[in-house]
Amino acid sequence: MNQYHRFFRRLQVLFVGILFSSLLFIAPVHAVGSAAVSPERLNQLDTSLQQEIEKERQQATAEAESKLDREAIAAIEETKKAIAAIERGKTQEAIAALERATGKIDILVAQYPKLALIPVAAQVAIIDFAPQDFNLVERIRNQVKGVAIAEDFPAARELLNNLISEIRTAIVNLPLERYPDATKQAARLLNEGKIDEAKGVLQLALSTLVVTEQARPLPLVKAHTDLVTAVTLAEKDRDAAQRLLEDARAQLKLAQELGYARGDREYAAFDKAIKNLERQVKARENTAGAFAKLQEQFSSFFNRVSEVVKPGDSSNRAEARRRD
Amino acid sequence: MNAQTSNPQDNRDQQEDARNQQEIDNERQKATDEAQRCVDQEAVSALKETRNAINAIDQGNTQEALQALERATGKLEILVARYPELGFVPVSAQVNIIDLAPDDSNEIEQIRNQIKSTVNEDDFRTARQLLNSLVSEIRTTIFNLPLATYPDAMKEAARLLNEGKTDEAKTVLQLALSTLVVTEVARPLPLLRADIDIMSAVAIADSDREGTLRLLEDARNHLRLTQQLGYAKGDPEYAELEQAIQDIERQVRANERTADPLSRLLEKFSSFFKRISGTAPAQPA
Repeated sequence: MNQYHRFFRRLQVLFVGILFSSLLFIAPVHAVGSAAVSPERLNQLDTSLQQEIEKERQQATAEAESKLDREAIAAIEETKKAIAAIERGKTQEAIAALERATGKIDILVAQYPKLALIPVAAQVAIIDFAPQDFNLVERIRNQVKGVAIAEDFPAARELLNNLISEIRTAIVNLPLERYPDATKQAARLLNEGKIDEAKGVLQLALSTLVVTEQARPLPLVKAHTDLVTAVTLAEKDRDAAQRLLEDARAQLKLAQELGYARGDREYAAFDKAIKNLERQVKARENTAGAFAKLQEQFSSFFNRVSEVVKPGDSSNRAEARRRD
Repeated sequence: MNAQTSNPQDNRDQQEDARNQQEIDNERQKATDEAQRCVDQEAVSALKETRNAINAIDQGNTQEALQALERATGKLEILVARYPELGFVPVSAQVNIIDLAPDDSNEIEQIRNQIKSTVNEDDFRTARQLLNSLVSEIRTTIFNLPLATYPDAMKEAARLLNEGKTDEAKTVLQLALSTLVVTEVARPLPLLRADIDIMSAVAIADSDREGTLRLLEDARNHLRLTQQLGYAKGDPEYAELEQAIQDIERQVRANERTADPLSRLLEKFSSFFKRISGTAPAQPA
């Protein structure tokens, strides 16, 4: 199985953006083994790693779902109904659907006057294309720089996809600034008998939903799993614990090399803290306190690095909305 | 309240917009037809049988799972025999219009500079976001079954099932299903719009000099936009096309006949569009 595993990992190419329009949830899971750990520990780690990744994915899905706004979803459904009614030649039915959509959106605008984006759909996917080999990562990074300087942006996009290793949450948002205007304009055009134009306006509105993304770097999930497993082994299997700590440092470095908050100073602090732990484990010192502290720091670092990328941060806005 | 616009310029713009939209829809339809034609039904069936096998495993029906895998393997063997040199066989396709790029050159320039600096700082997440904001294309995405590895995965799963290792077999099948290889083809929208401008110019060249000049200028702008967005940026044909358009503009201003040069230009544009929109296979890491 490992040979397939390795080969498939190299070929994994997932699509995310183009599925947004279908507003689906997909969540393929690709678990990856940890190279620095001995074979007898590999299965155990694989399983705990898979569990950890799955747990993280579920958490991401639950968080994303909790942010969705039912009223906004209903407004989009009504827009789709209006288009369907136009296609059946039922103008009155279309206008009625648009009235319902506009009503819902007007309420949303009144309710959240400061809000620009309202989440209507989410998608969580595990995307893991990045190689584990640092030399290969370095080579791709250099290639990216080369094509970026040459302004070959399509090639840059493809190359950068090879540096992704994350649980990605994509949230599709209804833009409150523009969407209501579109439904009103479509209603006006329908009243004027401009059926095709009205349909065009609605289709355009549906195709211009705004997507925001959040990425949880998989190497950090793996490093965390390594640390947790190392804690459980520290007393009974020092060598295995050492190897796991070493792997945790490698995963941290990988996260940084893949560009996840690359300039963050905390990377160096973690590397040092883990090295200290390695020394303590080797010296048979008690590591429980140091492990607990490290784990706590690591969790807050993970949360910080996994923040939404775009400035139009839907999750923060949704949080703000809940506090309103 | 609902004042109707009767301005001839507005009407002309609306007609051009409608025509542009129609041509883009035609191109999308063409891309969809092309993509659907390349999907192999045998490979699609093999995928379906793989899913049947997983369902059978979930229901605890190992024999049924083995039968499904046998059918899948049979179909795949035929595919391998039929196309021994083929690495990937298309199983599904999707065509989307992705038009996120701004029209404004200064804004594009700003984004391009930001891309360079974020790449330079190894901030790849931001670079990805910025790069995605320079996309303006009809994108055909084809999902392919990798013939080099997929049949082996089916056989491996069957072996594991025979050994009673149902969970492992299921994992192998799920992994195989989730590792279809994606290839993409991008038809740049600004280039398509330039092509439409030239087509429209051909249609009115003899009757509307001003309109022709305006369309030719639009075509040049769209051509420049295509290059700015990085579609085959270094291609020498950009300069040749720009020069050819400028020559025709000069001829239009001089009241010379332009039907033939415009037709030749249209031909050049179409072949350039096809070349730029060539298949870009997803590269392994």
